[in-house]
Amino acid sequence: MTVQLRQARLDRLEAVDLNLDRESFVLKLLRDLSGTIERVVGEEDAGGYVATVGGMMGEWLNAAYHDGLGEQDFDIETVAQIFVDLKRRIDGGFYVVAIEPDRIVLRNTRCPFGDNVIGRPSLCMMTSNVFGRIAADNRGYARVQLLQSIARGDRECHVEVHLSPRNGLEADEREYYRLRPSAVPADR
Amino acid sequence: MSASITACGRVPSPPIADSDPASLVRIDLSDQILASLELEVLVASPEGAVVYANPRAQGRAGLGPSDPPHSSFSLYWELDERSAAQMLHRLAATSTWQAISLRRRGEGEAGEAVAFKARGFLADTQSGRSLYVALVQDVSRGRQFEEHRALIQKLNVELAHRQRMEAMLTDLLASQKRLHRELVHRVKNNLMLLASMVSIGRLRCGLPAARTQFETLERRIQSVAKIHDLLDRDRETDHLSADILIAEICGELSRSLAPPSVVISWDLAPVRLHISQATTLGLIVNELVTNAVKHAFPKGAVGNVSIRLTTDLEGGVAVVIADDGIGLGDRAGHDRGSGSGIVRALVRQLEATLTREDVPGTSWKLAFTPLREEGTVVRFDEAVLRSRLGGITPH
Repeated sequence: MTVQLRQARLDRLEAVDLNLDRESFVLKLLRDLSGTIERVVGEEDAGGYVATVGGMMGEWLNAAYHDGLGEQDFDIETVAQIFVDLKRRIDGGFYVVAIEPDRIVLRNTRCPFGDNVIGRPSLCMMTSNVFGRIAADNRGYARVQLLQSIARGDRECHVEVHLSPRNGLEADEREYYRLRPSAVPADR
Repeated sequence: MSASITACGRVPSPPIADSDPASLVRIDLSDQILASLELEVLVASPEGAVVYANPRAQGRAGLGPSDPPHSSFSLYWELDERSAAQMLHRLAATSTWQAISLRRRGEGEAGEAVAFKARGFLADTQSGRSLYVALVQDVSRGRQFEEHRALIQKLNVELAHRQRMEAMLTDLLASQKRLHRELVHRVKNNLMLLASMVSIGRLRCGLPAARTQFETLERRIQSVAKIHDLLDRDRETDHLSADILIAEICGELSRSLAPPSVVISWDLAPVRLHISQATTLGLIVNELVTNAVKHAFPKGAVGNVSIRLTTDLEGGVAVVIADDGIGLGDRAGHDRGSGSGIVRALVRQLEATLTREDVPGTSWKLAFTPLREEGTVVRFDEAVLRSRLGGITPH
């Protein structure tokens, strides 16, 4: 390679359009990592690994919201709005469809992982665990059901958070139990 | 499992009364199933108290089937009580099965890593509903890794074997090429020696007609020797550049045969040919150019002989040898000399066509299809051909 050719390339280096920044790099890394784990150990076990991390994230976020809003357990309305707020902060498109005494129904038009989530259903365990952890630590128990998900090719995600236990679990359901010592519950 | 705990499963689990015969049967059956599992099963509280261990887990911990379980999870596994409680607390948080790996405490198998799946579950107890962690040995994970390890080991052995085979075959091939080159070198030397012997015979011969025959024979031998010389120079064994061969033959004829009044020129596209075709082509060119130089320009007439080598998009090769001499005239169709006979035989051998055009002078066109390097008929890639055509070197 001639010196002139090298210099010409170096001059163009910073202008090359790679669509690369820190966020896209981390999202790509996450997509490839979750895809690798799904292929090696299977989707279910991969979901287990994501659940472990998701549980930690849920604890962290729950503690952060309590730092800002007070130690008292959040009521169901606040829990639902926290779901929407935390997803909004990370560029998700969740909205509340219904709040019932023992159920929160949400839908989502935009995944925080972007298109990187498509074909990576194990990443949905992040949402299930974060929602489940926050709901369980404030309402005593949560059962998160992922009825539809963008990761599986649906147009929107459809998530229901049930707050009363029942016998048996559906395949798309995960249970969450209170870890945080119960504070004085807030009135509904 | 202890009669004081029942899992919160799909089947409703009402509080158990010892007087209920159905409950007793269910407990007995559960215990038997858990005892028969070739897996270790443990149930612990999130704080680290072990409330159930099946007989296999008891046995691996050095306890008898009827012994009470160790009170603390950290007595089974290499974890201090704080770390054990932190881990169990995390695992208790969800019904999702999560993978963990624990190192066995104790004597015989101390330090052995054991894979588990664990999840939290709510159980009905005498004091109400409580949260516990179920841990079930995950033999498939260990087996999966073992199978992968065995497969990798097998593939490594196979790879090493194939690498040894490849090295051996590479050595053999190199050895064969070296021997082939040596053979090419010796054949070239022998042909040069033969040409020298013919040359000596020519010099010692007193008969003009015989000297001419000696000269012709010498040039034919030199043409063949030229091929081996090229192979030897380029360290080739099977293929050579036909354009370079023809250029060398024409250059030799220009120096040793053509009078100053006759100019031999050539315009040759780069073409690689198998030695069998190159030998035949070299001899044909030698014969036709020699004929043109010797017969087309009588009595010191001035003239030109041109040789042109071309390829076409169909993969064909053509050589045109043209002179602007007197033409064959009456000799056309009647030439039955040894040179003409050799040319006809060589054309058949090359599976070529040889056509003649008489005006002006004489023009011979030889057309044939070259063989691929592995011996099949070659078809030129157009891009390659164009790049080759770009490399024509007019002389």
